[in-house]
Amino acid sequence: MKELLEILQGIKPEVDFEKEKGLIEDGILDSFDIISMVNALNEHFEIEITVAELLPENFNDVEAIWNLVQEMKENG
Amino acid sequence: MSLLSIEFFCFLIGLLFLYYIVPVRLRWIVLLAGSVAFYMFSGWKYLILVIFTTVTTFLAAGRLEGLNGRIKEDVKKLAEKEERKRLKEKLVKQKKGIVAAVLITNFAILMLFKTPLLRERFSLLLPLGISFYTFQTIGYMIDVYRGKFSAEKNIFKYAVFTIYFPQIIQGPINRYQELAPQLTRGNELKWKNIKYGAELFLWGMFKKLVISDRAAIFVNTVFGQELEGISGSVILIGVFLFNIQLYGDFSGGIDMVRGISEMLGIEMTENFRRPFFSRSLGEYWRRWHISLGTWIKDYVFYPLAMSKLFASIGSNAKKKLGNHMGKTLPGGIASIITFVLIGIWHDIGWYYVVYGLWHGIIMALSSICAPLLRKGNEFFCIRTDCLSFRWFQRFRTWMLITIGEYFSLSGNLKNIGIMFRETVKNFKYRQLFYGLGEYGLDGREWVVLGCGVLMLIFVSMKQESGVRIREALERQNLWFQWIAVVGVVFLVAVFGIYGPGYDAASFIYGGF
Repeated sequence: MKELLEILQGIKPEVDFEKEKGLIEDGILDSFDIISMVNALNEHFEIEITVAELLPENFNDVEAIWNLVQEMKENG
Repeated sequence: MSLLSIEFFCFLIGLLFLYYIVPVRLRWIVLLAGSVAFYMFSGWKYLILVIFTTVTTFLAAGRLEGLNGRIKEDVKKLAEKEERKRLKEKLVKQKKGIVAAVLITNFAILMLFKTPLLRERFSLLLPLGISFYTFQTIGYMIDVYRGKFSAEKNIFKYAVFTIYFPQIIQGPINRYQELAPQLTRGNELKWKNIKYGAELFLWGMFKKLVISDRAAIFVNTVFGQELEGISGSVILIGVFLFNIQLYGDFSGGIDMVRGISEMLGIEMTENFRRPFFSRSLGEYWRRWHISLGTWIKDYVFYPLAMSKLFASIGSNAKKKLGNHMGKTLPGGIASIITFVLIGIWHDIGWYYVVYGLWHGIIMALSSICAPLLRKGNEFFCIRTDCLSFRWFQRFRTWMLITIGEYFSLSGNLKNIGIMFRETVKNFKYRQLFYGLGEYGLDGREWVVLGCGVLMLIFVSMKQESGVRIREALERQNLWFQWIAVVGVVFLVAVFGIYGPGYDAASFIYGGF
């Protein structure tokens, strides 16, 4: 989880990722941030998040992102 | 059949009557029959194209769903990990093949009709709604490919989604999972829906007939002639008015379409959210032609920016140009490509490539240079959280959009040069006070246009501050509600611009 937070903080330092619950639905992350984040996650965790996984519920808060990463790692 | 013709009003009243008198479970059939009839009024020959797109995407989605099921079930049954991987790859390949075949065929048809040279060569007219139904159905097929929802089993129910008459004129590009259930479930008659729908339709008419078509007179007079020698101030005002014309025409048309849908108990996707209040170009594109923006994002931008090629561009950039470039470059390049595609969707010509490049490059630079801008603001002690800065951002965004409209209005590359040169070198500011009456609008017309725009700004500012206009109106006394509605009817009837035979001008986006 700590490494995930570090990656997210690197994408948008001004956002408090531990508190935010609507990263996508509240428009905190724009499409450029999402691309940076997904490419960084894919590279770091050696997974392959595809467009099909780009659903708000997978990226709205840090826990959802963490769950997605774990799921991708298990199924990878 | 124009949305603003007597024939259409008769058609609509007849359809509403039929829709609400047949049993609920049969109501979707009225919508299908009505939509086919509407399409046939506008050119029955091209109905075959809609049928082709409907059938190919329907069959493809069914097949894709079957393959999705096999990936889930069959793959699980295999014991060996390698075998599982091989089978999965084989099935995914089949899925990709189906999507590619249907996508290429349907886009080839779209391109045939949208390429001016080919259209002239084969004397073709642009089929009604070809862009909109192609985008909708391809979106549906790709969503089934991605496993977002199950494929529709009844082709006739699917066909209502393809050809639903209000959206086929100029969008919005609806999503299957949002629109289709509303079309096929059969809606109950509710007075509120009829009332709210009619009010929205009326407001759309006001934007289209009083504001947009009036601004169009000036725009068409200025840009319909040789641009050499026209003073820069007239060109600049022309471009400003084109912004207003386009917004009034397109958002007005969408209001009408959404109003009609509301009368049928159907809520269509939102296409505009007061785009001229945007504080950045990115925000503008999230508030202008929203349904095209999200479509392009989901089916072009994300797949491109998340592809292996772009990921490797990102990691190379990270090594050579640093962490920040590694993160922002893939999105930046994908944005430029995406906007060029949006440009040439409007018209296949170099001037629209320049239009796309302008928007794409600004978007890419604003992402790449974001830290630099932040540091600049800190260095010069610029406060970014105050009202004046927010209005500065809005003004800056409007200027960026206006420059973009120079490209889209030019019609060719040569005119782009002339328009910018005249604006800078031959501005003649006196024309702003004395010369604007020479281009089709006299003093009285300017006053009406000005009042119309002020009314639009007033309503938009109210909406921007969270007021829901129709609900606010509902809370007033009945006599006031009547005055407001009859007042707008009066304004549209008296100040609307009508052509010969009282026919309104067609919609700009109907031509895309």
